[in-house]
Parts: sequence; C-alpha cells; structure tokens
Amino acid sequence: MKLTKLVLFNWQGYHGKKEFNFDGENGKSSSFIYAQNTYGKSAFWEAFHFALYGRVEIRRLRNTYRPVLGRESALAPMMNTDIYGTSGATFYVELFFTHKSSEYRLYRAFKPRYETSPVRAVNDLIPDVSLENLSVLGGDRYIANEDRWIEENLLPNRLAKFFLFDGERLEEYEDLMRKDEDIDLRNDIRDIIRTPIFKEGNRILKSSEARFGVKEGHEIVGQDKDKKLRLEFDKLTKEIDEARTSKEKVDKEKEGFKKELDTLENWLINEDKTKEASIKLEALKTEISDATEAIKGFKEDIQREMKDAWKVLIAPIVNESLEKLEVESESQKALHGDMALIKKEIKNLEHEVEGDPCDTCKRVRESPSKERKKEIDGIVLGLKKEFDDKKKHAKYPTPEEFFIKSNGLKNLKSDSTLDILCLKEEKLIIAKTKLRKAENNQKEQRKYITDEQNEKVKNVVKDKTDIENKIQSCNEDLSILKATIEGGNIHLRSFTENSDGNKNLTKKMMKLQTSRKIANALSEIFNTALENFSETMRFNVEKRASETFLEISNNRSNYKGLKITKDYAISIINKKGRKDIGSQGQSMVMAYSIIEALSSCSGFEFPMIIDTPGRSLSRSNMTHVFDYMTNSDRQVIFLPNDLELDPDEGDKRYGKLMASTYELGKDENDRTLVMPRCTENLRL
Amino acid sequence: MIDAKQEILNTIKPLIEKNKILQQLEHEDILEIIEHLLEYQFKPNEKKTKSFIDEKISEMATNMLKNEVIE
Repeated sequence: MKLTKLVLFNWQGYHGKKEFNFDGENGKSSSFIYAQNTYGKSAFWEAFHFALYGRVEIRRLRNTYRPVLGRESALAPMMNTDIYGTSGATFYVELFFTHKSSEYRLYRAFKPRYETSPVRAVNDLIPDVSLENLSVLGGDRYIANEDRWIEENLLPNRLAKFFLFDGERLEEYEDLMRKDEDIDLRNDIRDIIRTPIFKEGNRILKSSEARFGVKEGHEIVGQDKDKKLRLEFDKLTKEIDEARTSKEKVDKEKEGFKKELDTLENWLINEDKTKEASIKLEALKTEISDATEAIKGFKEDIQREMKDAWKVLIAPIVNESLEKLEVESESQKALHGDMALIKKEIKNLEHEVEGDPCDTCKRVRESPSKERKKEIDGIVLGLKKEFDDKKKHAKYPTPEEFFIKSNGLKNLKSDSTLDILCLKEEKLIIAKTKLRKAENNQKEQRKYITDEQNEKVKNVVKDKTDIENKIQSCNEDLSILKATIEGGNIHLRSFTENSDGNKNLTKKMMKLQTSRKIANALSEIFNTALENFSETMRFNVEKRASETFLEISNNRSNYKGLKITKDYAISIINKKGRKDIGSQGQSMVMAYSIIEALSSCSGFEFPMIIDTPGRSLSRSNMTHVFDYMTNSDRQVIFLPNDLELDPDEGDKRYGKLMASTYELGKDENDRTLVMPRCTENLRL
Repeated sequence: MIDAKQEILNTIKPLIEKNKILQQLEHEDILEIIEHLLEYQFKPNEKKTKSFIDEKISEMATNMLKNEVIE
C-alpha cells in the first residue's frame, strides 16, 4: 500500500477540511509533517488508526479508546470540539492509496443521525465507512465488508504497531533486549514473520489426516463381515469424537479464563497504581533529599555572602576610588621621573660651568666662555623653577599615604556583586519550589498505597492466581485429551494399515487412502519446514536489522551488529564479538532497526508513519535515522516536533527526496493550521 | 523487501521435491493451501479452513489416482 492523499474533516484539532498530498513524481512518496507539540501531529497519526480500524486507542491505556465526541478538548474526542452541539455535525478521515496496481479510496466518518438536530451524544451520530477500488468501473468498485478487507489485504490491526508507531513505543521494543520473559511483543514478531502458518498448517493437516483415516476405516470396517471388529471401530471413533468435543469445550473454557486474566492484568496495569506509586515515591525520596541538600548549600552561600553584603552595596564607590588612586599613583610616578631628569640636567650644567669632564662621555671640557656661563645660568634658573613646580604637585600623597589609602580601599572591596546574590536567591527559591512540589507529589502518591487499595490489589492478585491455576488445570486436561485423540488415531490407523498395498480396494477407499497419505506427507513437511523457516526468517531479520543499526548508530565504529536469538531476544554485539549493554540511546537505535527489519521482512507493504521520531534518541542518531529512512525505497511519514527537526533545516536536507513537506500551526481559536512547505515534487 | 510468502515457498519446495507422494502433485495445489493459511492467519476460521483443506486434498488425491491410471 502506498498512501497518496489524506483528507481530514473536523478531525480532532483540525477544523473543516484539511488535505495532505503524498503523490510525488518519480515514485517520491515520503513526507515530513513538522509541528510543535500539541499542534496536531498525534491527531494526524491517529487518523490512520481511525480510517483503517474505526477507533483510536488512547496511548498508554490498553483497550481504552478515544470518545467519539465531547464538549471539552481535554477529553481528546475524535470529533472537533468546536462543532459539538451544532446541527448536522460530522467528521471524517479519507485515505487515498494505491495497492497492487489499483487505486483505492477509504472513507470513514461519523454522520449525524438527523441533519437538523444538534449533535451532543454518541447516539446522535452513526458510523459510516466506504471502500472503493477507483480502478474499477461501475458498481463493482465498492468493496463490501471493508473492515475484513483491510485486515486481510492491507494490515491486520495487531501488527499496525510495526508500521504506525511513535517514539514512546520504542521503549517497548527495548524490552526485547532487557526482559527475558516471553512478552506479547515476541508473539507478535512470530506473527509478523508468519511462523504460525507452519504450526497451524501442521495441526490442521494432522486433523485432516485423522478425518480421512476415520472415513477410510468406516469403509473398510463396513465391508468386513466381522461384527466384533465393526463394533470396536465404532466404539473407538465415538471415543475420539467425545474426546474432540471435550477438547473443544476445554479450549473454549481456557479462552474464557484467558480473557478474564487479561481483564485482571489490565486492571493491575491501569488501576493499580500501588507499584507505580512505590517506584515514584522512591524517586521522590531522592528528589526531596537532593532539593533539601541544595537548599542547605544555597542558604550557606547566601549567609556567607550576606556577612559582607554592605561591601556589595558600596562596591561601586570603592571600585571608583581605587581606580582614581591608581591614576593618581601613575601621575605621581611620572612627576618624580621628570624631577629626577631635571635634577640630572642641572647637575650636568653646573659641571660644565666648573669645567669638569662630561658626566656621560667623560670628555675633558674647557671652561665655558662668559656668554656660555650666562646662558647656562639662565637655563639652570628655568630648570629649577620647573623642578619646584613639579615638586609642589608631587608632594601629596606620599608613597606611605598611597599605601595606607590603597590598603584601606582594598579591604572595602568585595568580589561579590548584587547579581550573584540575586542569582543565588533565585536558585534557592527554585529549589524550595522543587522541594514543595516533590513533597506534595509524595503526599499524592502515598494515597495510592492506602490499606484499602492494598486490599483491592491483594484480591485482584488472588483472583489472578486462581485463574492462572484454572488455566493450568485446563492445560493438563487438554494434554490428556490430546493424548487420547492421538492414541485413538494411532489405534484407528491399525484398521486402515492393512489396506495399504491391498489391490482389491474400492475406488472410494483408494481415494480416501491417498488423501490420508497426502495429508500425512503435507503435515510432515510443514513440521520439518517450521524450524528451517523460523531460522531463515530470524537470519533475514538479524541481517537487515544489523545493517540498519550500523547505518544509524552514532557509535557504529564500536559495533559489529545485532544478534537475535531463536526467541527473539536481542543484543548489541561489539567489535570483539561480545554482547554490549549499550546506552539508552543505542537501545533505542536498536529498537528502530528491529522495527524497520521486521516490517521489511513481513511481506506487508505499508508506509511507516512515525510520530515524535526523536523521542529518546540523541541528535546524531536521530539525523542518521532521517538520513537512512529518507534514502530508502519505503514510504515514510515523519512527524517531528520543533526540537527534533527544524522545518527549514529539514527541508534543506531532505526536501528534494520528499513528495511533500507540511508544517502544522495553530490559529487564534486553537485550531490546527496546515501549511504546505515543499510541494514542488508533487504530481500535478 | 523480503517477502515472507516467497520465503515460505522457498523453504517448502525442496521438501516437496524429496517427498515421494508430494512430488507427484501440482505445486499450485500446495500453493493454494499455503495461500489459504496465510489469508486466514489473522482471521482464523477453523471450520472453513478444515473444509477447504479436506476438499483440496481430496481433489489432489483424485488427480493423482487419475494420473496413475493414465500412466
């Protein structure tokens, strides 16, 4: 099946008619639907469940389905809440797809029972479904018994989880690696790779062999004149029949017990919050202790800071004074430097007057002339005046005063600022809020561990054990009955064995004998083939999953692939050929690889529609998943949120490979808006 | 894409060819049985499957006996 178009009308948050087109040129059929959380991604994803199977299971609540309509959107009804109570309110999901070279239209709706009455209750609506083969003309285009056709030709409901899944479900697949017990998922895996065909085939062929044997026996005994033999044969067939009837009865009984057990288990999962509450309480205990510890730390910090808080307040003035002092100090240094130079210059000139040798080059000088002496006197006078001026400015502060002032200011200085104090105060408030929340949560969780609740759980667990015992007793009865039937059949065969090779058989007897032999041969090859087939399929899934895993893992250089056991327990194998526990992220990559491999090996051609694909995946692993899937031949519709893939980045990277991309938004009335982005690859 | 149905046939074919009785039968008849089992895997109908298989096997036996007479 390849999806070409989806039309939503008044479906959940989508008000009115909204269309998504996936019919791209050159076989392009994949798409990205970008949206922030709560903008309509899951409603889009759930539309497929509704269109195909007529109902939508609420996530995490097994066997609990979305209400058809409701006034409040908090209930998440299927019908858009804005049309609740209006006359003629209706909603539908319409799927257009190609399947085995034909084009189809599947339309599923809830229509108003009366066009003029307001729709307020489920009874005001009637379900409507129609499936058309658009490639056929005339009345034959309408396919009767649509639901059955979908189950038989498209995808059985129970296997939808391998094709329509959201990031949250990945954890369930992760259990394949972590849990040893035989979980339901393992049975579903056996179903999707079709191993039950052999088991079931073998069983039915064996029973067919027995039926032909009985008929043959009747024929042989009927011809025999030995009355005693005939009576013995009749008695035996009657016993086998009785055993079969009893077996059917016990089978039915067992089925009933199993259903009861399912109900109790569901109750324990959905209603019994004791276990969950205990786990939560344990986590809350740590949370409370962490928050208390953090509060203590922040308080100590703040107390320390508060001791010198006054310094924080005058810090700007102190810092300014210190800066000024620094400037002053520099200017004093410069003045003293200048004064030293002047002093030296005066001394030089005085030596010149005396006729002493030059201070710098030690050259002997003659006594200066009168004019020169006069000139020198003038220069010296000027320099002394300049010296005195500078000295006047260099008097204060003295170096000692500098030292005292500077030390005083440094003592007043604080490294802390008001911002730091505020930040710590803010953190303290956050920690306090966290603590309060955790304490309230703790109180809430403790409610679930009341004596009354414990008593209820105890009773359900007791009932569950009783039913499990009853099932066990049914199993024992069944094995006795099975042995009786098998033994009876072996005994019956002794009546027909003599007929093998007998040339005087009637045509009817020969036909029955041949039929029995064919049924026996077929049942034997079904039995032999089961193991070979399971192994072949296990190998195929392992190979495909390993290839996918090595393509999308961001740690691929350290891994060799995945190992899948006969019981579908899965492990990551490192380069040394050993089992690797792997991080949470790698487990999720493994889950993706398994889903992809199973859906590829199932023989079902169905698109993969993935909601919040990046849940529990790191950024690089997620990019690898997008890269890998968008480059495959499969039709994939990704529904990433804004944190998982930015629409601009997504279009830039994958737009060319997609049939189309869309972005979901919200209008002022909280209705989902559908905004086409890349549509140039769509067929006109 | 690996086709599970094709894999089933690939597994069964060599076994049929080795079996003295089954090698005399038309592969298509056996294929019909497999297709029926595949079709009813997810909507089990014991009564229908039993009667289909009994009828099919009878038909196969008739054809086999006819062929034996001709030979």
